[in-house]
Amino acid sequence: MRITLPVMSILTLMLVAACSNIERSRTFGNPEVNGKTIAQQVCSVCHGADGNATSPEYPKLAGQQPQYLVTQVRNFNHHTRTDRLAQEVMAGMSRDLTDDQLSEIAVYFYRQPLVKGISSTPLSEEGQNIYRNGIPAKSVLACIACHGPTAEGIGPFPRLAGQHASYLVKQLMVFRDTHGRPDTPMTEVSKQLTNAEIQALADYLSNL
Amino acid sequence: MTFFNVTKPIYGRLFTWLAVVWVTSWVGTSVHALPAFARQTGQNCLACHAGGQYPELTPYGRIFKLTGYTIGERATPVSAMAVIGASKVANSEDSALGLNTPVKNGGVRLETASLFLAGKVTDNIGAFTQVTYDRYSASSSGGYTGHAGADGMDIRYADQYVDQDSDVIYGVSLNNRPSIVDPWNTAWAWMQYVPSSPNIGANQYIDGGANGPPYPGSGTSGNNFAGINGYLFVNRTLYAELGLYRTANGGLRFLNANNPVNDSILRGTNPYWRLAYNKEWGANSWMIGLSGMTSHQYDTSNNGIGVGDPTYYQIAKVRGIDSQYQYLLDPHTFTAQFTYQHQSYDNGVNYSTPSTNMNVLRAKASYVYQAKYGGSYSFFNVPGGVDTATSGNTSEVFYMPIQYVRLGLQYTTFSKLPNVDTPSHANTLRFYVWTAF
Repeated sequence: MRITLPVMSILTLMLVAACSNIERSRTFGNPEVNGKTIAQQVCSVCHGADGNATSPEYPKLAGQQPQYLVTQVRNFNHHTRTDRLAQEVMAGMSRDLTDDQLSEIAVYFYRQPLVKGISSTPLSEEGQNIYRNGIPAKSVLACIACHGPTAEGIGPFPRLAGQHASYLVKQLMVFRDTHGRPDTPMTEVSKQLTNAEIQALADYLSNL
Repeated sequence: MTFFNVTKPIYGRLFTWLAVVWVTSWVGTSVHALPAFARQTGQNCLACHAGGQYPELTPYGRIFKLTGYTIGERATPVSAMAVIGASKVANSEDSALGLNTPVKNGGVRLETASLFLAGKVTDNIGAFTQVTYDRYSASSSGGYTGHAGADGMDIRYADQYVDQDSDVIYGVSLNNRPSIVDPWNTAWAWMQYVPSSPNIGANQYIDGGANGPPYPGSGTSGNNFAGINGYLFVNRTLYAELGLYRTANGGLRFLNANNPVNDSILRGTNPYWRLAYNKEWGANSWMIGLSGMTSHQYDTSNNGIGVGDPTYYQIAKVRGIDSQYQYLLDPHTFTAQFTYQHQSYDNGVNYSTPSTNMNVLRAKASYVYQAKYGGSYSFFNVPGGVDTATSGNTSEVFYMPIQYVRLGLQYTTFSKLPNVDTPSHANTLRFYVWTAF
């Protein structure tokens, strides 16, 4: 029986690969795989290996608060965060991550420096004013109270600085118009905001 | 060269055995009413398919494919797909239409159905294999007879080295069609409206069948070969692929399983190559690429007579340029695609048709809203004399009530058809229901 070199090569590759590749695995269901590996091999496809997602379809995770990130992923899994893409894209793929893996992923992205995008809009003075002072006439609280003076977030409150503007707009509308992200102060805060005010806030924050 | 020059059936049995082990090892794992890849990743189809349009891939879907279908957890690797449709030809009585007359005219009927064995095998190996039942495989005096055989097959080993500074994916694919490995939808194996039309043939690189009814797909079914391709994707920017194709015989016969051997016999090893530049910015992605193949295929009209005789084969040289642009930002999906090929055929003296040259253009634009409502327009053109020229366009609207059901209405008009005085007689209205589970 003569075995040609290419066929031998393929069979050898298959045999070698029959063992799991822990260092560069793309599975979510193996607790032996380090969170950093999952971040680089899987999360990075959409969110970027340095956490600076190219597409505004996906949020930048660089510099994001780990506590916030872990909470959101668990909300996906428990279907308590039900905005459409969160469920269609994130809920299933993170379902079997262990707490340790999730923490490692969150810390990995928190440690990545955020890269600001090239903004096409000037820093919004209206957005800055809402962020710092709220809108007293409509009882809208100042964002700065929870998200911090530089919008880098604190604990369960997410970093907003440098985030994609369209992502911020979308999430504010999810808070305001849907029940997709319940049980947060943002439902109350956002319901008084107009579309123009939401856009102004997003323009301001994405430029920080 | 001796690629795949394996005559012992042991390898065919080995692959069959590996497939059986793969399937049975998943008995008892979670099963949802979703296709295999969606079960594996836990994601909706739209994560990988632009606006939910199968088979067009998103940037994420391209990485999923290039990393060997290995993202996610192993799940039941079996899926099925079917297309039910009804077509109405403007004037099916026009005898000049001949073979160009669309074969499905009149009532609602099952056009095609496929069974897939697809998904992750190990952390580095995955597969996409498809067996398709073609309702209109052969014509006879009483109508058409169906046939099931190997469709697209792509079995990969892949790995990725990625960190904050660099991203390198490499892989090896055992497959049965030139361009099936490609992650962009402008590759000839993938540029189509709905999957598994009876006329989908990925081998225009070889058989140049693009002047048949051109969309969706063209060429003949069952022309499958055995190819081994290596590829590299660097920093999500540069893509390079080299493939070598031979007749799918011996242990690799399964790549053309249950299809006539004599339809797909190549002389020696035939190279395919592909280079592409990819750029992603904001919600946009853009690719421009070159591809080509030089192949030696024996005449398919002689039932194998002449195989081994150089006067009976055709040297096909195909060179192409293609480009794709995508804008993906929920709820909008916009795609524009373009592909142009120059094909030259140097036929042996005993080949059934004379030598010829052909230029083939296809272009398509589509828009989908909320991954539910969409439309597209496509244009195809093959310039030439009265016996080769083909030109027309297809307009389509579609609706996807759920992610694995699509209802579509297409209208194709022809301004040129080979040897047809009134091409508009072939204008076709088509309604279809596509589903996968």
